[in-house]
Amino acid sequence: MDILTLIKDLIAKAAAISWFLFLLSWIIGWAIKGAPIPIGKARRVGQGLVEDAIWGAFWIAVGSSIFWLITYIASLLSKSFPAPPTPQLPSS
Amino acid sequence: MNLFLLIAYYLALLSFYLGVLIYSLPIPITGLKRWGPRLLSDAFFVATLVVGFDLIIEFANYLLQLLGASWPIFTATIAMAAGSELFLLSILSEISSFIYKAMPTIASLINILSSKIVYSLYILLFMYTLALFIKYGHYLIASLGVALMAIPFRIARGAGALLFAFSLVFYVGLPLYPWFYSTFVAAPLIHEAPGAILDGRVVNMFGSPIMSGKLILLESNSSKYMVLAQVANGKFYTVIRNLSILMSSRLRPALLVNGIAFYTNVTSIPQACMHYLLYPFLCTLNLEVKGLLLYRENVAVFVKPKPSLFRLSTVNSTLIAFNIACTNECQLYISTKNPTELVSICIDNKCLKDLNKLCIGEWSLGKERGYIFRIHIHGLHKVRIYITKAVSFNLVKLFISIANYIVFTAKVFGLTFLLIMLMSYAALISSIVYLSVLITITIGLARLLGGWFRGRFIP
Repeated sequence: MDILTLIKDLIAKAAAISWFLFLLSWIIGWAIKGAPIPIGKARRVGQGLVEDAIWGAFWIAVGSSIFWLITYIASLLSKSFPAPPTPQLPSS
Repeated sequence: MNLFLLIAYYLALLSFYLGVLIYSLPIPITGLKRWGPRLLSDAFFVATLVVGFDLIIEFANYLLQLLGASWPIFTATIAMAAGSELFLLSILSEISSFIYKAMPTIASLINILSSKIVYSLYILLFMYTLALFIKYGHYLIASLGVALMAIPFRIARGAGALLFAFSLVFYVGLPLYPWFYSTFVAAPLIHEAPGAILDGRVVNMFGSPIMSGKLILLESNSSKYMVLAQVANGKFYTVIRNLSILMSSRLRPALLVNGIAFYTNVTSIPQACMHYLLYPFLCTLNLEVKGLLLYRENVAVFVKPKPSLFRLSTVNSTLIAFNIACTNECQLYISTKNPTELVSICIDNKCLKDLNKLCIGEWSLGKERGYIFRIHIHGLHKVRIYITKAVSFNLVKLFISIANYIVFTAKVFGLTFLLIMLMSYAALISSIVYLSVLITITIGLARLLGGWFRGRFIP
């Protein structure tokens, strides 16, 4: 079970870090967009950062619900699955 | 839900959050950023696999029951195929040994055919081992495969997919082998196991093969016995229907030669077959017969106690010559079976024509009878035994014994199957063909599961 607790620990850390990073890159993205740099490509980098940060936040929020959805569908399927035919002993 | 599946599920979660982390990283390198959506889609895929794992296994079981395949029928088919090949081998070796003196080239051709049959037998037994492996371990191997697939960054995805595909394909595929066999080889399915197949070699105390004799089961403390098999060319093969006879520890195997039963180094068959637990239908017994030195041309030579040296130099239809050495005095017995008769015995070039002094008695068992002679041996001597020409119609004996084999096999396996077996190359290669079909399907499924998706599902 040690490996499971390790993985759960890592998940918790990754979730916390991604929330923080999402905020950080959103701020950096807007900062680059608003900075007085004359090169157009550099400003589009800022645009990309903002977009990806929003997508990241979306997936963090929605991720657990998708996993729940997968489990729910599987449980529905397993209930409606026909039971395999049981072999009958010959009655002679 | 075993440990591997739990690990896989949590690894899927981890790779999901790692993907999200990479998505929100403020580093604008596109190569790195592409891993974000990849990790996300991997996580969903693996989570679906983990949650649907039991579903998949249940579906596989359902499929098997629908198709009417099951593991006992599979074992019975393998046993039948292995038994028929062993039977073919025994017939071929008998023919080859008879023909060798007259037509050595044809004998070597027959030996080549025998070796091909032996390869086919190996593949059959390999398939059975694989079946045991899969039958008891498919859940574990498949779940290990999913766990490997779940590792983030697709590190072991190919290997995991291969393991998963392998266990699934072989779990469904192997029990379908009897159907394949009956479709392409046109043999009837056996619905009950054919009992046990016993085979092996018979050697004397010095390791040389004893060419013929009857393998019997002796009941201890009584003179009742049961014939198991006929030894031919040093080997024997038999199919035993009633397993309880084999398993009884009161019966011990012995070699019946000229009315005398010689004990072997195997005292109880179940003990000797113990290490064949994996193949409960196949047991190879290599027997070392105590006391008997050779049995050729209806003449048996046995000695008590064990000599220090025994080397056979010549055997043909008129002469049996060997060197024997005893440190302490030992008794050498020579037993003949009618119609073979002793002409003279020469020890170190001193020949004795008057054999009445050496004869200690007559033996008879059923319709057979003969005489027993005794010589005292001390030290190293060269013994030559001259016999009259025995039965010269070896060909007739060959036909009779082949006819016996055929009748025996027809009783055990069914006549139609016998005919097909004797003429069917497909029967020999069916196992390796089926294994290669299954391996191809496995590789295809593994590529499908573990391949790198070209399309991006996650924006």
